[in-house]
Amino acid sequence: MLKLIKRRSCWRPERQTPAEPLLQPESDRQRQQREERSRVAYKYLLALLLLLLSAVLINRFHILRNQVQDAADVLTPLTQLQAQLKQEQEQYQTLLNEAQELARQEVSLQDQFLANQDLLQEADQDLARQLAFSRMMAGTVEVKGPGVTLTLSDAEGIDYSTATAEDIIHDQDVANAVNALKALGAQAIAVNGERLTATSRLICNGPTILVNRTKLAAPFVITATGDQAVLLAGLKENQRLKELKDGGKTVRIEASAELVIPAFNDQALMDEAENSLKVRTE
Amino acid sequence: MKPRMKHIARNVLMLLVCLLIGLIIALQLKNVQTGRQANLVNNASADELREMVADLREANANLAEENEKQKNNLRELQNSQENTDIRVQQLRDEIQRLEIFAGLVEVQGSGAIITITDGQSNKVDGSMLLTIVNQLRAGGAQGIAINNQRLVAMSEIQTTGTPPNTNIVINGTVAGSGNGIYTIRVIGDQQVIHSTYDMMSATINYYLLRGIGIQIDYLDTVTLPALSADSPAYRYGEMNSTESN
Repeated sequence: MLKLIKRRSCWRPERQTPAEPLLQPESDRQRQQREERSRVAYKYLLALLLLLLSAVLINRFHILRNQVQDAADVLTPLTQLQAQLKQEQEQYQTLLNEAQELARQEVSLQDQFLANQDLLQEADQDLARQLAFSRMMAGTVEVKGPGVTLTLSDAEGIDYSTATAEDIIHDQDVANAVNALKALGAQAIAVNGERLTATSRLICNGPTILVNRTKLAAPFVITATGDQAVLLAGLKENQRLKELKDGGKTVRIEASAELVIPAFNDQALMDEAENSLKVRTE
Repeated sequence: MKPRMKHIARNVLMLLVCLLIGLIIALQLKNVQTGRQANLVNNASADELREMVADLREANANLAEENEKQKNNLRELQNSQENTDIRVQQLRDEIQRLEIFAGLVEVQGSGAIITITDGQSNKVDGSMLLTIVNQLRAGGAQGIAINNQRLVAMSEIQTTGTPPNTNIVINGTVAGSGNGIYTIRVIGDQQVIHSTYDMMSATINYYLLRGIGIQIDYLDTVTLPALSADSPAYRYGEMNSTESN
């Protein structure tokens, strides 16, 4: 404004009209208008956001419903499979019981026959003893008597999602314990009710241990008949068992007054051995 | 001052709404992800279940077949009840079947011989032999002997003595008379033995690096001795079978 005045060719007195201030204090009316505008804008923005929120919420609800549906879709075959599994397991148990019953019948038929000694020639008198011995050595006869129960289990209360190989019992640990019992002169040994024979495998199978043809899970209960005092003392002295115990794993050694070690009765596994082992004829 | 407070209140409200929306979107993304993972887990267990059902079905079919065979066997036994000669023959057959399975007779078959020898500074120890034997059994070995000691159900493989004067005792006898050479004779499917041996390569290399010698030869005829009558397993078996009669 000052520059402009200077450039003027002729001087005129300054106009007396007061210069409009650049920022006029807003009038009440103006303020009211502005606030009104801002309120409206705020309302629209809020409405928009709430709309977005409800859209997201609706979407979320749909996804949740889909997930529930998906879960149901996954669960239906799972429950069906569970039912099938249960049915097959029951059938397996029935067939196994039948197999044991048949084996018992065979044994009693043979024993009946052998009891009738006058039918036998002198040369055959030894058959009963041979049969009893070979049954015992093959493990196809139930053994009852005093012995020990050795329980091996993973460290108590471990969290399997974070457990390391050091926290769990391995096939090697069970194999070593079984070998120790054999060295101590055990008569008959079973792991979780699976009788050990000359061809018994005892090997890691994922989270389970495969013994003969059965998958076993921890705790592993090893039962052995024999000289109880010798077995107990030997197990208590066993270095490997001590190491397992020091490593936090469950190692329980108990005396059992009357153990029953079940008979091995897998005819198919015996057939396999018979087919590949040929008796040498001199 | 009052309108100003109102202004701040509005902004705070707006901020809260925005935060809420942001939070919900973030949660949603996360849920979709975990939902996918959960489905994967469920599918895996469904596959496992399917496998278990299939395994059991097969086992049931085999068991049913075995039971049928056994029923026929029993019928034969009952039919020949009066015929002593046939019954005696049946008994002999049954005893032989048991003796073969138990390791009480000398047998032959195709398989392999694994020779393990002590190194200069490292000796073979019992747990190594035990591991190999266990692996061979897992691979379907039908009969095993180490240095002429037949391994039966109650055979032990034990390291005795204090290092370096240790021995491996099998069936109550020092294996190989302490000469440091261990011969594992195994009868079984050669292809399966071969793949089992391959699977053990990590263990085998570990011992090879320590100077222990390991070698495998596949033979059409491997002979396994019978369990010797003076072994503890034999004596205990005899004692217990006469006791229970």
